[in-house]
Amino acid sequence: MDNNEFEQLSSLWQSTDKKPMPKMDKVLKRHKRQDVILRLNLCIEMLALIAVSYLLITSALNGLEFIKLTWISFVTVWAVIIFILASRSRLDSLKQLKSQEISTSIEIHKKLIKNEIYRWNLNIKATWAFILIFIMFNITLIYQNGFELNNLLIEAVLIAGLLISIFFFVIKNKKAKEILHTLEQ
Amino acid sequence: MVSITKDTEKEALLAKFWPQISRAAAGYENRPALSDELAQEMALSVWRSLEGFNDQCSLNTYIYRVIHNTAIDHIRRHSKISEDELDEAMLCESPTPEKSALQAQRQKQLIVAVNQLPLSLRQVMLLKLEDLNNIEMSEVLGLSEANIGVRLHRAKEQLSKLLAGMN
Repeated sequence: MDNNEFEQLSSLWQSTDKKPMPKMDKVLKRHKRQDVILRLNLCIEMLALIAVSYLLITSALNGLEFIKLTWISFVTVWAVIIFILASRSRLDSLKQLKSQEISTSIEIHKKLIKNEIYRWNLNIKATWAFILIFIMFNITLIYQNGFELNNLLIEAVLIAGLLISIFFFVIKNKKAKEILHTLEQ
Repeated sequence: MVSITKDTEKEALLAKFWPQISRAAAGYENRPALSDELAQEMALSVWRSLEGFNDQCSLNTYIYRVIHNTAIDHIRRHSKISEDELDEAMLCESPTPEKSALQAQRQKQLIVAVNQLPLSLRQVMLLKLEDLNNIEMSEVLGLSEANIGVRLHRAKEQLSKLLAGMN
């Protein structure tokens, strides 16, 4: 492609249809609304975490049987790990300066997406562990208290839900890998 | 030079750079709805970053950095799905009156071809199409001029092949 051809291409590019400029007050309002939703989500997640931790502490203080206490402890640790990792990634993303050189920011984005891949992998493994421990917990309960069809149905629905979430994590993980590939091009 | 804090100054600057913003959005995102969303995100980023401008580079470079950083952020958050189908849909849109129809078709082909370039080449190509010189491009991208030259050469080669393949 010689300079003349490129100049033609450049003027063709610059003559593309001009879209109307958005009303900035509306864009700023929408951004504020999204910011509020983000903060609200964070508060809900923190409240859920506090509730689970509170449940763990009161269960331990009330001398709940060992198997149930182990189960609640596992859920608490699982939730705390996922929350910390997700929050760290969110914070890293927010801290990033938009005015830095592109080559620098691409490296940061690669790091962020690698963190995300790590997080999805961790979610997949943690959910499998969750299912495994949940099944073991229920087998122990059946062994102790006998078999109940109603309970079994509820547990089956719960496990199906967890399997769907694993499927969702796998898809997100695959997409994150595709994005990493794009950034590495 | 002081930072740009007044809303009227920001509005005027945004209006000046809006054509570049919307074209860059099309160059990074060929799904129409997401392209509009990206253009708005870019405008918002420029608006919010202007207060942080303190002569560390030229205003032009600063704004292009913000625009392209927002695009990378967008890529990270919205992975592309079934791109081929979208490309085909975009190219098959039936154009209107003759001469402008041909021009519109060529523009669409150019946007699709630019979208198909690997990211590192797409960035230099988008800046070059906006008439930035190698020094300005190296300031925006943080690469040496020699590196820019190599990438630009490859980008032109690939773009030619892609456009030839469409005709």
